[in-house]
Amino acid sequence: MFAFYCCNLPAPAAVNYDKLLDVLLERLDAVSTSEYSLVLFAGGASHYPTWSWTLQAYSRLSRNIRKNLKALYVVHPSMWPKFLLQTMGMIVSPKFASKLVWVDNLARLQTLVPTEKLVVPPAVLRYNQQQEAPSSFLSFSRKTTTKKATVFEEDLDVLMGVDGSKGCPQVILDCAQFIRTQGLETEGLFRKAPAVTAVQEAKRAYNEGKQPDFDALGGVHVACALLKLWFRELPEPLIPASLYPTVREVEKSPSKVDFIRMRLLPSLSIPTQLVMYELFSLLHDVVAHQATNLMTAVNLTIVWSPNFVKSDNAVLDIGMCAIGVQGAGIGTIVKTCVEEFDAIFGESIGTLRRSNSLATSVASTHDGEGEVDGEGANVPQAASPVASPVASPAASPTRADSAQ
Amino acid sequence: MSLEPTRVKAVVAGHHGVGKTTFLIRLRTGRFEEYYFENTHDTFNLDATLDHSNIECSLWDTNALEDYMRLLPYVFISADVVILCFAIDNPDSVADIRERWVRDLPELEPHARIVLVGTKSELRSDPATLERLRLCGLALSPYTAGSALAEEIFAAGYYECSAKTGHGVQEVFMAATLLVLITRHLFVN
Repeated sequence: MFAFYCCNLPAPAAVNYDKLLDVLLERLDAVSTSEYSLVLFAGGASHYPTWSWTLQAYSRLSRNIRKNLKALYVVHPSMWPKFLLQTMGMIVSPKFASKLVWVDNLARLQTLVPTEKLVVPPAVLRYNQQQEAPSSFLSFSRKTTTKKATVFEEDLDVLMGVDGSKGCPQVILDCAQFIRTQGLETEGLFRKAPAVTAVQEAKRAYNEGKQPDFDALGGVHVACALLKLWFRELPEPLIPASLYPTVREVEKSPSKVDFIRMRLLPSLSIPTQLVMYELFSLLHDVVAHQATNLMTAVNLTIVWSPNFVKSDNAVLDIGMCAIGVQGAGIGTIVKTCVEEFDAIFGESIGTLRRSNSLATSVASTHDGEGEVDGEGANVPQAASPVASPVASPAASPTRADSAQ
Repeated sequence: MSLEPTRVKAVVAGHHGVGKTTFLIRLRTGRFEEYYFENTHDTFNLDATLDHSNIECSLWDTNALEDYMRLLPYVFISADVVILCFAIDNPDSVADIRERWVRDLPELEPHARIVLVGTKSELRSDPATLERLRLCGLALSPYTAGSALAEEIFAAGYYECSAKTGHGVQEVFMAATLLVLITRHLFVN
C-alpha cells in the first residue's frame, strides 16, 4: 500500500514536475511487481498538478503499474481531483475508473484500509477536521436548539415558572419515585450505564408528553441515567460559571453547611433550589443504603458533579468538581449536600416547596386568582427562601405522592 | 542509547467497570486493589527502559461515565497510544469497542495507535464466573475473538492481562510503548 500526499507537492515554479514524475515512476516500477493499492491524500494541498501533466503521467505508467493496482483511494476529493480522475478514467480506461474509491474523511478511510501504518501529515489532519462533522457522541445538545423540546433541554424557569410555582418537572419526580421504590439497594446506582438507546427512548417519551415504562426499558439504571441526562442537558447548568467565585469560598468557610445555606442557596434561583431539594433528598436516601448499593457520598459526588456544570471551558468545569481542593468547591458542596441533606434543606426549602405546591393547587382551583392564604402567597416573591423561611400551615399534597 | 528519554503518552480507555484503574494501580504499585470507587481522570508517569531506550511514559486514566464525556478530547489530545480495554466476562464492553470507540477514537486523536486488551483474564480459570455466565446464556470472550476484534479495529495487537494476579500487565505496557517507538522510528525519521 502506498500513500501519495498532494499537500506535499511543491510549487510548480520551484520544481520541474517532469523530473518529479521520473522519480515517482522509478519508485512505482520497483514495487508494482505485485498487487498494490494507492492512497491519495488530496486534501490540504496548495498546488495541484495540471491536467496535462497528469495525463502524461498516466500514459507513461507501465503495464505492471496499471494492472497490479488493486484500488485507488482518493481521500478528501475536492472538485478538481475528482473531476480530473473521473474524466481521465472515462477517456483512458473504464477499468481504471472502477478501481477508484472516493473517501470523504479519515474515519471512513479507516474502515476501508488498515490505516495504522499510514502517516497522515498535519495538513491533511487539519483539512479532515474541517470536513468531518463531530460525532454524535461528542457533540452536545446545544446544537439541537431548533427542535422544540418540552421536558429536556429546556430552561428551568420555563419548566417550573420563575417562582417555581409550576412545581418540579415530572421526569424528576418519576425517576426519584421509581428509584426509591424499585432500586435503592441496587449495586452501582447512578454509576452503571444502561443502554444508550433505552435512555433516549425514555427521553423521547417525556418530550412527547408520555410516561415511559422504566421496567420495560431496562429498570432502575435507565431511570438513573435519565435523571442525570436531564440535568446535563439543561441549557443553563445548575451551577453557572458566574457562581464559581462564590463556590470557591466553600473550602475556606468553617462550616460548609452554613455556607451552603447562607451564601450559596440564596444566590440560586428558586426553581434551582427546588430541583436541588428533590435531587439531594433522593441522593441522601441512596447513601443511606450504601452498604448494599455501594454508593458512598464520594462516589455519588464524582458521578453527579459534572452534570451540574457546563461552561465553555470543560477542563475548568471538571476541575471545579474536585472534592476538598482549594480553588474548586463544587465537589465539596455536592458531597456536603448529600451527607447533610437535612441540615441544609430540612426546614426552609421544604417549607418553600410545600407552600409552593399548595399555592399551585389552590391557585388552579381558584382559576389563577391567587387567593391563597396570606403566608403561602408571599413566598414565591421572596428573594431568598432561606433568608425568610415561612412556616407552612398545611401538610402538602405532593409530599404524599412522591413518598408513595 | 540516547540519554534524552523518549516521551510517550498512553491513554487507557474502555467500557465502564472493565478495570482500567485497577490495571493502572497494578502497573504503578504492583498491588491489586479491589475497590468500589469512582475515579476521575488521573495521570501518572512511569519510567522504563526498553531495548536500551529510556522511556518516560505518562499514563492517563479515563472515566468511562457519560458524565465525563466532555473532557475526553482534552485527555486524548496528542496521545501516542490508546490502551483500549474490554473485560472478557462482559459482552457489553466488547460491543462498546465496536460501536463507540472505533468511531470516536479517530476523532479524539487520529494519530494514536491502538492496543486492544482483554482484562480480568484470571476469570478463565474461575468456575464460579463460568457458571454464572452459563446461567445467563453467556460465555467468556475467547482469545481468538479478541485477536479477531483487534484485526477488525486495526489495533496493533491483542493482549490479555489480569490486574488481580498481575499476569500480562507488564506485557501490555511494553507492547504499547514498543508500538510507539516503532511507529516513530518508521515514520518520523
